[in-house]
Amino acid sequence: MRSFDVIICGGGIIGPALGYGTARAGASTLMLDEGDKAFRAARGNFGLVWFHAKGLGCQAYSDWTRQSVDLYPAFSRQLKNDVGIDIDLKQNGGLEVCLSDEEAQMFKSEIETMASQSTDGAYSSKFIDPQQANEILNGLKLGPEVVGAVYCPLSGHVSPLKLLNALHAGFQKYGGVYQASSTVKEIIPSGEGFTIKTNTESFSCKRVVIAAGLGVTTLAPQVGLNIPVFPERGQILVSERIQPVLPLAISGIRQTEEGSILMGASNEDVGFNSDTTGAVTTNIAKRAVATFPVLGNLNLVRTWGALRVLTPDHNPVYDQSSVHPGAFAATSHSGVTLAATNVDCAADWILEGRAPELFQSFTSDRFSS
Amino acid sequence: MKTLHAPNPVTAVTLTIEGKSISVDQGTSVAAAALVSGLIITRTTPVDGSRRAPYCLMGVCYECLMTIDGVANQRACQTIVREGMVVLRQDGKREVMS
Repeated sequence: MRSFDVIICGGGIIGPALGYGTARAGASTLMLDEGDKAFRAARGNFGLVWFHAKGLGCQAYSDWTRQSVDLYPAFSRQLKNDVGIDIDLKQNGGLEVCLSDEEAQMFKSEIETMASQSTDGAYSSKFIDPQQANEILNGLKLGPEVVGAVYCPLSGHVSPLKLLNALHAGFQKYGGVYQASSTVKEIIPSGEGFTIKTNTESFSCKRVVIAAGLGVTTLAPQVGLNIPVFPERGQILVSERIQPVLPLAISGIRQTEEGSILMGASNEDVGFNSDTTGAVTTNIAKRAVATFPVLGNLNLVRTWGALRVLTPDHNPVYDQSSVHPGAFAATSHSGVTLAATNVDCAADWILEGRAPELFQSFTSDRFSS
Repeated sequence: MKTLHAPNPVTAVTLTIEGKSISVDQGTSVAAAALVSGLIITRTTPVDGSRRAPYCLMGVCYECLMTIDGVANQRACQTIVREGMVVLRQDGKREVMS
């Protein structure tokens, strides 16, 4: 039976970020990836690096997000240097556009809450009117229904697929072992460590990290953790490639480096179903065209659906089992935004057991009461 | 490339491809008309600008994208010629005016 210091269960975006960190610190690390039958949130992602109102009602989540977006420029350069992959980071601010007074009211009250819960008084998102938004948009015209927008100078976007590729490449560069088509069936605490049984073989390790997306619900209880997560479907439309028109990311509209316009931001509770539907894609397209009428001229070339991984309070989980120390779990629906801190914290947290102080707010015992 | 026979003068369709007027039989695809007109490179790609020509001629490879009557990124092999049609090469990314 092959033995490793660390086994990561999950090859999505959180697993390889943590594995990159542990492998770089010199720990022998195996990453087990279920395969294409898995519901891969990491491969359906929109690609926002988003601060805005992340952590509404949970300042630790906001602080953790802030740390990651602050780290992102250096993180992006580090990936480029380490594995030669440019993740197309554009972090020149982001907009959330409001198409009705109700939306504007909701966003304004979110900003007020965020500003008042902020501990350092440095909360920087602000509500702007359409005229101010037009100035930021550099000539791209907003539709008449737009009543305002929330501007956050810290937000931005990346190519989530290039990020995923870069994290995997970094993990393997430092000796991490990637194994595809490996469904983790059982995690058996044994002696000082764990035995991990997949569909085909068994491994042993000193530490195990469950970063299995929606799979965490069945794996976490085996190491004494209770982490309820739910799938939430999002659908995305992709346009033909066009000349650059969007100078910055909008919460549901972004232009990739290659020129495609992505449109998204739907939320549906439909269980384990990642299909697309006419009704939702129509609404996404209508909203995009109401925001920027010129988008109505575009040809669409692709749509897809994917499942977000949500906890009941939508806040992340970073936890180590108290019953079986050495067993860790991490989940959040911000795998892209938090990638920089996930890489950064991995060695201290997983190898040394030194969790960042903020993780006190991210333990899973909050779901047990 | 050339057609196997001259177009029927009664039913032929005349269109303009990259500024060149050409008559072809009705029912001909724009991709075939472009090839007959002598235009082999029908687009350049949006990311690295490399040259592309009609390839599969059955709608699946998307190599023959052209601007047809002002609408960019149309599959020329899936579009049938019409009288007076104006066809241009698709050069890189489409421009969208705002």
